[in-house]
Amino acid sequence: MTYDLVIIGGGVAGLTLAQTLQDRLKVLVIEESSLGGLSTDLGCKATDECLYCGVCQFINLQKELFFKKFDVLEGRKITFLDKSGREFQIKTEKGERITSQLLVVATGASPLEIESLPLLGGGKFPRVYSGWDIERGLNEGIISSFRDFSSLAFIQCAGSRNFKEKRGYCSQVCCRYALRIAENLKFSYPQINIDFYYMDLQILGKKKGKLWEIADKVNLIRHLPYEVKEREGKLSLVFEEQGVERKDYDAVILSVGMVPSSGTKEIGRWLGLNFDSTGFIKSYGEGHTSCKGVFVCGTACGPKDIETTREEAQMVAEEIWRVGRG
Amino acid sequence: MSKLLWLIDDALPFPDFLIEEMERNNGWKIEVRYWENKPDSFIDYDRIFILGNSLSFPQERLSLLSWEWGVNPSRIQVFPGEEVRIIFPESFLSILEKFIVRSLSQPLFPLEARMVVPENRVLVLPQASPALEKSLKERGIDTIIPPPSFSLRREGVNFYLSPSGESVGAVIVLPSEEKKPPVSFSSQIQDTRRLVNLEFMKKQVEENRFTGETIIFILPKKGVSEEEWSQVFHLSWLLAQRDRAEVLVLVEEVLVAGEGLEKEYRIARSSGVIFEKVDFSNLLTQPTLDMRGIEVELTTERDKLRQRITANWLVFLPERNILPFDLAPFFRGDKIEGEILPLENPNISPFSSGIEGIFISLPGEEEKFSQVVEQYLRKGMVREIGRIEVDEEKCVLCLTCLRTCPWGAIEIEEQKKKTRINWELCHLCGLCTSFCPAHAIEAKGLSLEDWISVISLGGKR
Repeated sequence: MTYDLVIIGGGVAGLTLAQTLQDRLKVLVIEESSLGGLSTDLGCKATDECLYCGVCQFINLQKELFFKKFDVLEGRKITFLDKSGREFQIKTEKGERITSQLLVVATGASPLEIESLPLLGGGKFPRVYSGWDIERGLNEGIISSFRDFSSLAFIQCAGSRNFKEKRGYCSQVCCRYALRIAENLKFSYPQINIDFYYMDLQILGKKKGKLWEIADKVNLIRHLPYEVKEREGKLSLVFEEQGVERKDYDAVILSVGMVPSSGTKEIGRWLGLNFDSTGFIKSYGEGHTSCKGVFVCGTACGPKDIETTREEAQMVAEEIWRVGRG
Repeated sequence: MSKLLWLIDDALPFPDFLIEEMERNNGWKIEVRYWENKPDSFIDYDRIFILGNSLSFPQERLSLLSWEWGVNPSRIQVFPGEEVRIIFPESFLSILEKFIVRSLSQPLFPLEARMVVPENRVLVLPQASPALEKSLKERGIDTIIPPPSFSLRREGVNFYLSPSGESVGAVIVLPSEEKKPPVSFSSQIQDTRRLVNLEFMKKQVEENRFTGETIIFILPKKGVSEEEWSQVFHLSWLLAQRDRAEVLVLVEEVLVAGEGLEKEYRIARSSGVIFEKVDFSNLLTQPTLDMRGIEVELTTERDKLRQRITANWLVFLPERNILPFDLAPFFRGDKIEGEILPLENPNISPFSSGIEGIFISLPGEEEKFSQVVEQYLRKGMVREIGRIEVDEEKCVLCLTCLRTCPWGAIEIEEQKKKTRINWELCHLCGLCTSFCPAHAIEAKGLSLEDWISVISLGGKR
């Protein structure tokens, strides 16, 4: 099979890009599991009003997929990828051989496993959740276990903004989704007292009016606890403020950061792409990578929210169209 | 004999014996196909029924499909797939039969789906900035200069300017910005000439050295872009590293959620720049006695200590607020009115004002903006000509149409006090349009000749 453009990864970035170019080029999307990527885990966080979390953008995209004009190979792992001359040769585990002129890496990121944060109780205590657990819970409507809780702590920047662990970047989405989840929980279970431990609140910029309203409703505490312990059936946060202090909560939610997915690392290594110091693929502006003919978009080149991912994918699509013609 | 086509989009129950029964009862010829192997030509079929999730098939989609397939829009009907799961199998057959019978009458109006493309010309209100005009020109979009006095009217996808009669495909609005300092500064402080903005400081850094001086930056929490944050990180790092100046950045929050910002923030901090989080509400400023500096009194968030710092330079970034743009003076007597603001909703496309064809441009994002506008102008949209529609502004809710309609296709939405036409039931007979005393119901986009032919056809009937 010969294509003008092969997109590796069928998440929001890959699908938006394919959709933008479907009328102009012969496009194929190869996806390892099922279409949608990370955003299938996300849940709508609306209370009695929309909180503008942007998850609907993915739902709208899904609806439009019904009328797609590009090809999709779902549930295929790529076993071979090489550049010969000007063309890319791809083989999948089911034996398809694909040749393509251009390649887009949209393999995305994945949330950090909370098991890698043992100090914060990840994987040790059942009531230490990651933000993504709650997202999935909202998606399936199973956060009713929060009914009996009276206090709750959000810990921001769990695993990100950490230079020692080579994750010296801000994951950009955590503050916003955590605040929206807090608002949603507060709306469903008003008795819960929510404390929000953070470094800097990343809701600055031009149009973030709604989030400031939410931020005023939770108890903002500029501290990061360094340890979570269990004490008399409750979770106890240990932090330093004029000496060591402890505070007890019913549950703790860790706003984990985004790390490059295993696919991003693998594909990047196969193609010999340059990575930046944090493990994401380095983008040299408008999706260009260190390899000619290979473009990168979406969270494969750094953490982003859905809105920015879509905007970026459209920009990269225009660039590919410009390069492909010339 | 009517030839019908059923298109099924997913694994919904649709047993063959029901089809045979329906064919026998009514004398239809029914063909069932899955969406993947839909026929190439649809002209042979009298009706096309789609069995699928009704959310995936809003009216715009059906218009688009009828345009792509070259079929009259009234010949495509959607049977909601989610209903099938509920009513199957007891009442499925009877409901299905009723649904088909209801849709089988011939429309009297020449209903048609057409692809319309807006004109490749835009009107910029109140006036195009040079950067915006340039980037629009690069993409081949003409901008017209708004005449001294005019009014706008929407017609189809375009907007018409009267009295000049020019037409444009889109209207771009440049809302004005309100800039105010994050803290109020008295006039005495401005007399010291040590209160400067970021642009001034950038120029000064190139020319002068600030060895041993104290420089304070004040940044508000709203309305500062990522580039400006990056510039502040870079500038403060340069001052601290090159000139050994004392640099203090007063903020409420620091923005690091951007590409590479975290790294720049860290570099600035490690070079000796102090980022202090303070409450701006009790920040006091006053000039020093020799009027060559500014004294800043502040309480830090961390240890709640009241401090007084004398700065040689005070650099501030203004807090920007976008003021709503009033469209009402331009759209005289039209439905569009009122003030528009950039929407915060990420579910709507960027720069959209919520009204089709009207965009809001923000300074500094001209490149992205003109791309969005170009896409809108080039893509075009499918519009249906001949659908019966109610003009809500003219409708007086006299209920004449409700009594006239032989098919019961007109409904009143009680809570919204609106008249609505159920297009599934509407047979396009046109009776309501002639009976409406307020002339609020009309067939959209129909020309006079079409009308005459329709009326004469109705007479024959």
